Formats: sequence, C-alpha cells, structure tokens
Amino acid sequence: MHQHLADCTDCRVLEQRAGRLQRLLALKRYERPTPEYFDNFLSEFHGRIQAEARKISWWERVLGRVDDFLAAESMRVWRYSFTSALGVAAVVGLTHSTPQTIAASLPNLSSTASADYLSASAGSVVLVPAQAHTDSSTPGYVLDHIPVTPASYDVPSVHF
Amino acid sequence: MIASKLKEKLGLGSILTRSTSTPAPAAERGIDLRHEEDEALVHRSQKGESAAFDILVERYKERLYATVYHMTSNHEDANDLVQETFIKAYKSLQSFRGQSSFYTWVYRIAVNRTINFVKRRKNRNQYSLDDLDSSIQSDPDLVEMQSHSTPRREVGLNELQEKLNEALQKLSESHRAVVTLHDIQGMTHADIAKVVGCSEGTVRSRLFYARQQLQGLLSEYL
Repeated sequence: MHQHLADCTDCRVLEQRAGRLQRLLALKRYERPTPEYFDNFLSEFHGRIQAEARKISWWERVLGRVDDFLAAESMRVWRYSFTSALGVAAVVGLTHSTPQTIAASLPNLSSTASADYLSASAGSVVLVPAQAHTDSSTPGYVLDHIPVTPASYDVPSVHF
Repeated sequence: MIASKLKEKLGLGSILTRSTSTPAPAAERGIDLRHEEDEALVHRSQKGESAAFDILVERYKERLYATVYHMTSNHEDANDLVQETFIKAYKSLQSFRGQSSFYTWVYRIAVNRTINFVKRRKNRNQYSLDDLDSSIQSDPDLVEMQSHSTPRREVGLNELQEKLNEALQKLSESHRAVVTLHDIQGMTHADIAKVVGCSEGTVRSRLFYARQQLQGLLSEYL
C-alpha cells in the first residue's frame, strides 16, 4: 500500500485529503462547556429521578401497597384466598351484567338521554321543544296549525 | 410480586424503598467508591446503593455529553439527552446482566436515544454551540492547517466551527454517529460496532461514505 501511494499521485492526494479531514474533525474536541457546567449535573439527575418517581399513578401505588401486604410472610396463607376472592368477585360481576340486565336498563337511559340529544343537535336542525313530550294533554301535530281543506275522495260528477 | 415487578419496570425500587436486608452503603463502611471498577459499581447499584450509581454518572457524564453534543450540535439538547440516558440506565439497571461493559451499554442507550431524537427534530436544526477551548490555538493540527495552502488560507475559528457542525448535520443519523464516535471520540471500530449494534464491516463502510460526503462539504478547508 505504501508503495502504491508512492507511485500513484491520485491515491496520494486522496489519502492526504482524508488525513486532513480527520485532523479537522478532531478539532471539534475543543468544543466543550466550561468545567463548572457539570457541577450541578448530579443534583439535576437526582431531581429528575425524584420527578419520575412522583409520576407513578395512584392505582400503581395502591396495587403496590396491596402486593406488599400480601407478600409479607405472615400473609402467605391468605394470598391464595385473596386471589380466589378476587376471581369470584369478577365472575359475579360478569354474571350481573348479562344482556337481560343491560336491556332492562335501556328504556330509562333513552328517556333521559332524549333531551340531551335534542340539545346536542340544536345547531343543525329545527327542534320541537322538549316540554312537548311531557305534556299530558292530547297530542298535537305540526300540521294542525296549517289551515288546509281536507282532500275529498268522492268521484267528481262529470258533465257532458 | 406485582409491586416488585412494577418497581423493577419503573426502576425505582432502590430510590423509593431501601430494603432492610440491603447491606450498609459503602460510604458508611469507609469504602471509597471512586476507585472501584464499573462492574463492582453496577453490582452495588443493583443492590440499591445509589451512591455507586452516582459514581458511574460522574465517570461518564462528560464523555457521553461530548458524543451527544457532536451528534446534535445543540448544547441544551445534549444535556437533556444525557440526563435521560442516565435515567433510562438507572431504571433498566436490574435487567443489565453484564454481557457487555457498562460503558458500552450506556453508550448504546445514549446513541440510540440521540438518533431517535435527531430523526424527530429533522428539518429544524437549531445550533447552540459550546465555546471553543482556548487551547485550540496551540493545537498542532490547527497550526498545520492554517499554514497549509488550502483554498481558504484565512480560517476564522468560529467560522470553521460553524462549518464543521453544518457539515456533520448534513450526514444521516447513523453516519453521523459513526463519525462522531470514531473521528472525534477516538473509539475503535469494534467498540463502535457494539454500541451501534452492527458489524465492524458496516462501521467501516459507514465511515468511508460519511468521510466521502464530508470531504465534498468541507472541500474549501482541505
């Protein structure tokens, strides 16, 4: 390789340029903050770790407490009982939320929700006031207010 | 079990609670941790001795900062990324099995985080450069370069610094990482391969293409 570089001018120039580039890049080592810059680095790190610890949500803390409680040696016997009880509770919960019970609760939901839907869509359509639904008198219709002659189905007499 | 797994996942076990079975910290026993090897410090940290991890932070903060800074060309971003790197390392310490050195492991975290960060902030490069150390004036390479018959004989240091950073930022993230680790930090090909997670051949190839590109971008200074 040394022999080739001695003989080949193109390769020698390329090699020299590569060397100069490396020396140029090495100058970047002089770009550095002042030594005092790192003085507070460790305390900032501790601060950030503490902040991370505070981010743990409440349910994670509760779960942790429960687990610590169960992990205690004296509680070993009760661990399986507690897990079984949780399982039973889950099954009971699922049984109570069968389709029948959900269906039974639907009418109540729809009657209370209708007023909300009306108010929610007020921007786009003309609405009948909500109190009309609670009026106990005979039902009224929009067409009642328009004076029109009822249409006759009698065959009109024909004159020749 | 759940709590311990949760704490392990969050990596906060040792900082939140110190088990009663944990041995007394080294400082209490009069041991100077600063002279301990990385492996021993990692072992102590895994047992909940946070002072041991502090020594590791002190040991590597400047080198990690330099790597991240040369990849981002931004002082504030570099500081944030190095802090995040140490937090991530602290959280994952329990999963560190010592298959590689702590130094390689923490470098890998830093480089991966920086590459992801640089990808996200693409097209909004904001330089925030550190000052040049005054000892650069007597650097033999700079003296030689300034005396050499380059197309730009008058090389202003600040201009040179800016051009170097601009050129580096034009490289792809993976090429920039390799150039930074090798040509600026002086790491070996083998170590770079471990940090970046590729073969030594790939490192050499990336280095070759990155230098080709840099020669084109910095031709007036060569």
